[in-house]
Amino acid sequence: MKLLVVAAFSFLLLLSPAFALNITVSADKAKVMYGENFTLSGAITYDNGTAGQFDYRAAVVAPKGIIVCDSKKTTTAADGTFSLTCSVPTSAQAAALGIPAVATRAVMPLRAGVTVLDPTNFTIVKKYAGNVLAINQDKLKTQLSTLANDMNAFVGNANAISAQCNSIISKAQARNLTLVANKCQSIKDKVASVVSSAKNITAEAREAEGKIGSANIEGLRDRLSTIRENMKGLIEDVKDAREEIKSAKWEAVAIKTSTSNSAGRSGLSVQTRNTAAGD
Amino acid sequence: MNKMILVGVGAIIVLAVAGFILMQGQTSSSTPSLSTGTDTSAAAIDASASSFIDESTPTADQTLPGLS
Repeated sequence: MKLLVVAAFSFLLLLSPAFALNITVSADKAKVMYGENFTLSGAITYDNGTAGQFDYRAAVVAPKGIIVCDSKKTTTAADGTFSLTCSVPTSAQAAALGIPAVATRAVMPLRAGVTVLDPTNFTIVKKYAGNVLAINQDKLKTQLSTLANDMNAFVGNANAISAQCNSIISKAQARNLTLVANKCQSIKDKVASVVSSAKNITAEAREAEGKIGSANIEGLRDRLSTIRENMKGLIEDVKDAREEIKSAKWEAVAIKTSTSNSAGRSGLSVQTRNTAAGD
Repeated sequence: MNKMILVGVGAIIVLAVAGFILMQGQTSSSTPSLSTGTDTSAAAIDASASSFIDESTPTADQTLPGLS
């Protein structure tokens, strides 16, 4: 009996690869403007390469699970091939479909793919093509321009804070305020790295503005994710340094330095003014 | 005579207050600070980057429909 069960399992294992399906599906464009078309196509065969005709449904899905293109349930050609031409909705059509934030969004990610009925075991198999990014050209240009301008402003401000840190470091070192000097040095290091990334993103955004169709929007999104995290870290450090600067005893240390020179109160004024002269 | 003393005391008080204010001014001018421009521009980028990232990332509910 045990032998029979083992034999049955082995038989099923041998057969199972032949039951699986091999599904290929792809979109002919990774980016498409609102109102334009793209084609989703592919082929379904048995895993062992045998051709067949299959029930399938190709579809393109927008945010909130809204179906923008749909072949409905239909049958492939005899060789298992299928295709669906999808007309990406215009802004007005997308709004009418209920896609969220159509009025403000510059891009809309679309997920395309095919659902297939496996006739051997009557299970449903879903296979996705790569994402297709639908672009509202005018809005994306504006968004990229704003982004580049914001990055520029950030670079200017970050460089200014780096210069302020130079002055603070020399003041702090003169008063033996090591913690303040270290915190400012750490800010300077981070500024150098973030400013370099910000400059690259600015250049990339400016270039993308001029050639939306070939711009690497997803790459830009990934780089924005990274710089966003790095900026948060920098801002936290700046806040931390502000607290340290505020609580440091700048004047008290200056008094100590002055009295050790037997210069008294007037010595404090001279000391403070001399130190501040480099600001 | 009393008036003279009062004027003298008043003058001393005025001088003391003026001296105190002057000292405070010197203290604050000698404490360095970091400008806030970086925070503002980083916040602006965070907001625009956030909408850009959200807009271009597919959501979890973007799944293919079934066959029926």
